Amino acid sequence: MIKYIIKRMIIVFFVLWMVATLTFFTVHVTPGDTANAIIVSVYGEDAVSPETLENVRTKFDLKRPVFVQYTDWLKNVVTGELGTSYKYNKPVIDILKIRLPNTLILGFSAFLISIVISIPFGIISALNHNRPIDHFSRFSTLLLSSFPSFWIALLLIIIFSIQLKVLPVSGMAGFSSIILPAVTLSIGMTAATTRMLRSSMLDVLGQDYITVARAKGLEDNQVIFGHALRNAIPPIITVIGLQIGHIIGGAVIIENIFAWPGIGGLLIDSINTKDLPMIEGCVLIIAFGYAIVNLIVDITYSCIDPRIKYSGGDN
Amino acid sequence: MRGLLEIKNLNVSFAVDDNHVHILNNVSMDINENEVLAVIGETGCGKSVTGSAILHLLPDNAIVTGNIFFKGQDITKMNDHEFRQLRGQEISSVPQSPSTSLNPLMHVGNQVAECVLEKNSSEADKKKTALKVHEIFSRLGLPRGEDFYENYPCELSGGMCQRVLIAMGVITHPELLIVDEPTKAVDWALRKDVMDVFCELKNDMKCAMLFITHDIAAAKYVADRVAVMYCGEVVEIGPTDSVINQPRHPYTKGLIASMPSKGFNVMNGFMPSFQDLPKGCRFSDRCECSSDICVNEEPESVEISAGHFTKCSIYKNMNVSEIFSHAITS
Repeated sequence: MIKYIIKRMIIVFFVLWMVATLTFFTVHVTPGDTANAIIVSVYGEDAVSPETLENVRTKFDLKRPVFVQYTDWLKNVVTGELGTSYKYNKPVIDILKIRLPNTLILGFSAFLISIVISIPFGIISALNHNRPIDHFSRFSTLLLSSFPSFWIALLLIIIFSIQLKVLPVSGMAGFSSIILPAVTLSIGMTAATTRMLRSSMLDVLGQDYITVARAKGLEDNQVIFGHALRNAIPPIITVIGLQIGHIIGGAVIIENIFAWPGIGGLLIDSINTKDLPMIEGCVLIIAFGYAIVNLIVDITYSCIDPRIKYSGGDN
Repeated sequence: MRGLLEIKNLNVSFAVDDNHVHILNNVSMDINENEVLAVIGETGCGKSVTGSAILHLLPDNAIVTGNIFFKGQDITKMNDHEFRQLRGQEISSVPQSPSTSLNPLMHVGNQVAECVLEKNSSEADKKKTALKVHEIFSRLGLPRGEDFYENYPCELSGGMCQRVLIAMGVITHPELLIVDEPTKAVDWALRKDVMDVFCELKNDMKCAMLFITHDIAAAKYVADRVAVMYCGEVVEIGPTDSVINQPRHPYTKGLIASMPSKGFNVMNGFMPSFQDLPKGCRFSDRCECSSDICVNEEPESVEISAGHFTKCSIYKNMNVSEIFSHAITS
């Protein structure tokens, strides 16, 4: 197992390097002058002049050829130095340390909401196949997963913040402020997990070993939780893994709408100001999150399902 | 010998798209204590449905009429909760397809132990059950010991899985064991081993069996009596020797003639669809002896010799000597 994890970690570093390199060059080929974007974002349009542009270019060493900038930056990253943000004029790592916990809190809350709702709903829906509760669950999950999350966010703000005035519109101040962004973020994940668990449970409930478990004289609860659920879980773990990755990186829109001070909001902000070290920092954190979650998913898989270990899962 | 299971006029139909597809038609058979009754017939003739009906394991859209008496009690009248006390304890089963009948994510030992253990068993009970499982494993020729107990089904061969399923069926010392095609998924070399296991079970454990198979040789080896099913009906039932060596129903004759050891003479035609059954005898369109009466009238069961019944119109108005001479000439 340790050998497997080491092997996977090496792959993770390759992935991170490729993601970082692609991001670096993508930012460089996008139109617009970096020095100009920095001055506009920090001091405003009026401050742009040939002198200030020259000063900024000198200060941040922007005159070096792109490839030299890339190799210098890469050397720093390898030694654990992510550089200094152009806009905030602070080390990138310090800003990430403040922003990352916020994203994780939001993501974890959304994850918790979706698990608490989707697992019972998926099971109930499968056990009541083609009955009204199953139709309701299928219809509602299809409906919710079809709406774009920004639309749901706006709808929730209108209902709970503007009309009912029970929850804050945006920002991060206390428990009540996390409810709307977490609920919005969890909706897509809840719908996907419910539908996946339903179909996975239906598939398992039709298997011979479930009939055999019933033939043994086991109680319904033992059959469902002892035999069916455990077999229905592996596909759900894949879906949940992908969704967690999405939460770490993809909460961008939600964080922006609710002005949630997380990584997503920071990334959008940094792209607008062409704050390259900051963009790279955010992208690396998001990619690392994806890779680690995928690794955890694979390890969980082999812990749950003995067949994976034996059929070359280690490769 | 006392009657253990008596199936009387069992009818099973399935509701499919507003129609009722009638699968079992007036199936009647009985099993005595410590007796093996083999049910043979081609795929789709209703053998497994009969087994599932006894175990209350038919799908929700099944409609069951008729009676199944187990030790004098009509189990068709029992609700699921009442029947669960019998299922797995007094009436047990060994399913077909060993590769798909074991939970892939559970230790095989636990799957067997689960049949005996109550929901909230103490540690002492669990240990006692584990010993019992080890004992039954070694009795069935499986390796004894922790290692085997903690194997997953994917680590076992087909024959081993089959034995684990047998262990699951017999660990509770049931009075009736319903065995569904036990030799279907095992190779030729293992087939005899599996059959020997059932013979031993019958002799040592005094367990009655409903042995569902399409392997006539296996039925002959293990069973005391044989019932032949065709298209949801029992067409012939009687002592093994009598049915296999002197088959009376044209279908049984055809089945036996199609065995590789008897010349591999394959019968003409196919079994009709359950949604489009012939009016009279269900075998009439494939039968070489078919006459008008067969096409128009449903045959009745006739006793040919002691305990040997057949459902064929040929024997309808024959007396004993005529039946005997017919058997010799045909």
